Amino acid sequence: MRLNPLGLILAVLLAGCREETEGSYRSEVGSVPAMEQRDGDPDAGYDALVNEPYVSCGIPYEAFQRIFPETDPADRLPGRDGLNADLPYAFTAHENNDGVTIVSSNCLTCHATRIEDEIVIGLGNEFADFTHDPRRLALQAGTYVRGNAETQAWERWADRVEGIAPYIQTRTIGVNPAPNLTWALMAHRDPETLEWSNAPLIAPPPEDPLPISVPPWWNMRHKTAMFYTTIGRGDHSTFMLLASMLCVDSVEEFRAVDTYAGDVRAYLASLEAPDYPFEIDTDLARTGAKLYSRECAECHGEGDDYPNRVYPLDEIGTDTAYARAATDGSRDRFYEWIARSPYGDEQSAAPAPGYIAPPLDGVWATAPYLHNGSVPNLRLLLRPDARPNYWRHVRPRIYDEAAVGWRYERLQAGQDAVDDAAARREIYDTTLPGYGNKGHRFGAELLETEVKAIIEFLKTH
Amino acid sequence: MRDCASSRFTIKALIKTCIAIMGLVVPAAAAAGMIDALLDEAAEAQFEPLTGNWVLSLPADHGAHPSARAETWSLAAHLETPGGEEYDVSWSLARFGIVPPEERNGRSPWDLVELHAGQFLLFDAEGGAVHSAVRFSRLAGTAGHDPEKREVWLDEWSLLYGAAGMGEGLSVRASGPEALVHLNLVPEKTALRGNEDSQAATRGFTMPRLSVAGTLQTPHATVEVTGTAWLDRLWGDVPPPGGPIAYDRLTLHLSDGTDISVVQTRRAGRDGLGTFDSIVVGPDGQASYLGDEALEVEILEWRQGQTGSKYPVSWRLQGKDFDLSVIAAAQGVRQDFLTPVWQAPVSVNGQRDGKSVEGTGMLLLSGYEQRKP
Repeated sequence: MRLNPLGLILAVLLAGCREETEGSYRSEVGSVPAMEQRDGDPDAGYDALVNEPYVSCGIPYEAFQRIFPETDPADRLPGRDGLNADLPYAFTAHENNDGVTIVSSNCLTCHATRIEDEIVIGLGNEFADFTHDPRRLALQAGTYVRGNAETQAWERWADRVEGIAPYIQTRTIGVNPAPNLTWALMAHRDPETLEWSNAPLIAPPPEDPLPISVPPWWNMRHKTAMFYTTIGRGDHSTFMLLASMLCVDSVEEFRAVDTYAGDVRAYLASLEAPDYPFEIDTDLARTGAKLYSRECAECHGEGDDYPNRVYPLDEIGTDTAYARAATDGSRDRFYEWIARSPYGDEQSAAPAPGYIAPPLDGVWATAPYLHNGSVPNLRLLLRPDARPNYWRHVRPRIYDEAAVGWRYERLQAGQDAVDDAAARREIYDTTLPGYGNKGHRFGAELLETEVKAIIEFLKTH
Repeated sequence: MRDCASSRFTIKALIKTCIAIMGLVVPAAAAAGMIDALLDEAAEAQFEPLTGNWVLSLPADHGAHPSARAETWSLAAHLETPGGEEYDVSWSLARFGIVPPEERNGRSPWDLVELHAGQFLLFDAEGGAVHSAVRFSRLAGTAGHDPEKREVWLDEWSLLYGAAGMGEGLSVRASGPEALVHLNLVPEKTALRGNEDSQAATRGFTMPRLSVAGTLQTPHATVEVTGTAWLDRLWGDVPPPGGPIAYDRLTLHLSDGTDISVVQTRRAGRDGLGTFDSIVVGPDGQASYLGDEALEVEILEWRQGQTGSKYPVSWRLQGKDFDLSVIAAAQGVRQDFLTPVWQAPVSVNGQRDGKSVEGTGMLLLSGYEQRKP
């Protein structure tokens, strides 16, 4: 734990007077110490992840069926119970206290991706579309809601969607607004009772969310803190439960979900990266392994040796907006909310002013790259001067084995130049705030043959 | 037939439209205190969802689709007499299936297997007074569809289609206590159809501009009328009226030949986001869908109704190539049914493609009662 010493002293002195602890929720760049984590049963964790209603509000099933009438067989997951067995993997059903069957989005909405016919759990969904106003889906679902019990269930969900909608609409398909979603939910909940308020209780975050790429779950096994700025310290199991905040309206509900949080974390920590599915030039990969050791391993680790280090913004050089917003005081009211809530304490939310160099397990699958998903493939990550200012994925998506990433199209102009809203949303415009693709220039001096070799090695990683 | 630029959205707009209209057309049943139970029964009926590809077939699709759980016909016509007097007509029919056709063998003809409902509104030349009538019936001989005669009827109201020389047009006869209209309608633009998608359990089409010729009969006189009309048709898995969602619907006919439909979807009885689904059909029949980002809507005037509810009666619509001001021309009519609906003809003026335009239309509002933030 690298809490700012002054902040730590203040936190101790001002316990019980937490509104005055502004500025204390920070970590320093550099090494991230390990914190003790809860034990858990990975098998029980998987079962909970794919069956339990940790997001307990959603669309009444009758209405859900009208919107999503059929499930692609390839979207079904093994080990799911009852109605869940027939639902797409990203949805979970349960019956509420009024006897209404509710279908809710689950963690796999963002943390699983289908590659061909295989669902890869833990792989961030880099094609999810958060550019639309989610109230549109809520209204669409409401069209098919009838009767008091269904209406009450729908309204519980719709109220929350109404509360968060202004803060979670990204500029580009593929990037994720999760941090802003979390802050927006906190703005509407009492931290001690977790009771929902339709009117914000503290100032919500800015409406334009800073984009992030969803980090793969299989790196959890290596990491001593969660997320790019290592904001998630302390008990990761509890911190993860912030993902269920949409509908947890009481401490009692929180505790019910928390009973299996340790198991879920144990499952995530048991995940391993998927194997590269295409051919690998093993000779070239061997050459690349040596180059990787020389050029990359110090920050990203090698084998089971992962350094868990945060690097300062002026050293890594990547888009600063996300890390600055996390550490400039503008989010401190949310860290204080966590400290006052069952989701954590004064040590739980402590970002550092920089970005962690992530483990590179299965990095071939996690394109696009950098914390904001601004670089389409590995080759461009190592060739910083060739990165496109404006680009979009080729649809349908095609994997580029040479560059390692999903094929993209370089564009001549950004979003401002496009009138059509649908076409505009496809464009990754690196001139937008928080969407920058600069930095991580560590491959700029490498020879092209060296870049190819490192990429080939990373296919084996 | 012409696909909308985004025909998938056409059917959504149609669905929303017709749900709103279905809220309008069930007054008699509500008055009889039966409608809740009947519509619940309809909702529970085991109609198989429509599946498979479909192709719009006109004029046949003017007729009923008995295998569909529900369907609607809705017409808004704007009429003028040779003397320049203006009238507006709103006429809607709805059919709710109770028992699927394949389960009707052996049943008594008096068994309730379908509900038919309809509403007729005539806004007179003064723009205020309204002649209104409702019809509600079961199938047994008082309402239905005769595919041989190519007629859909409800009591003395009828819709005829497919006769020699009518092409894709239709003929409508509808009446209130002191007014009867007989209108012949000929489409001036190709129909906009819903998406021919095997997943689409709800299907239909819109005829955005039909030319109208016919007669209006009142106790005082029978006069020739001509004008312009909008027709929406929908059948399939249409939800019954009620629920937490409210809709506003605006249809416009501009003097340059453009026709516009705007559907706003909102939570009933409370503030919050409204989403817009709009269709602009150019004079050449080319249709384009406008989502929220392509249409800016400003409410210019709220008007308090007799029951105290306030309604947005004047709208400004701004799109890429139009800027229009719309105002309800009449006092408007509120019908207190399961879904209270306020309706009025509108006049419109403004700019389209840089040129001045004017026009007529119809505004239908729901969900403004007991509003809360």
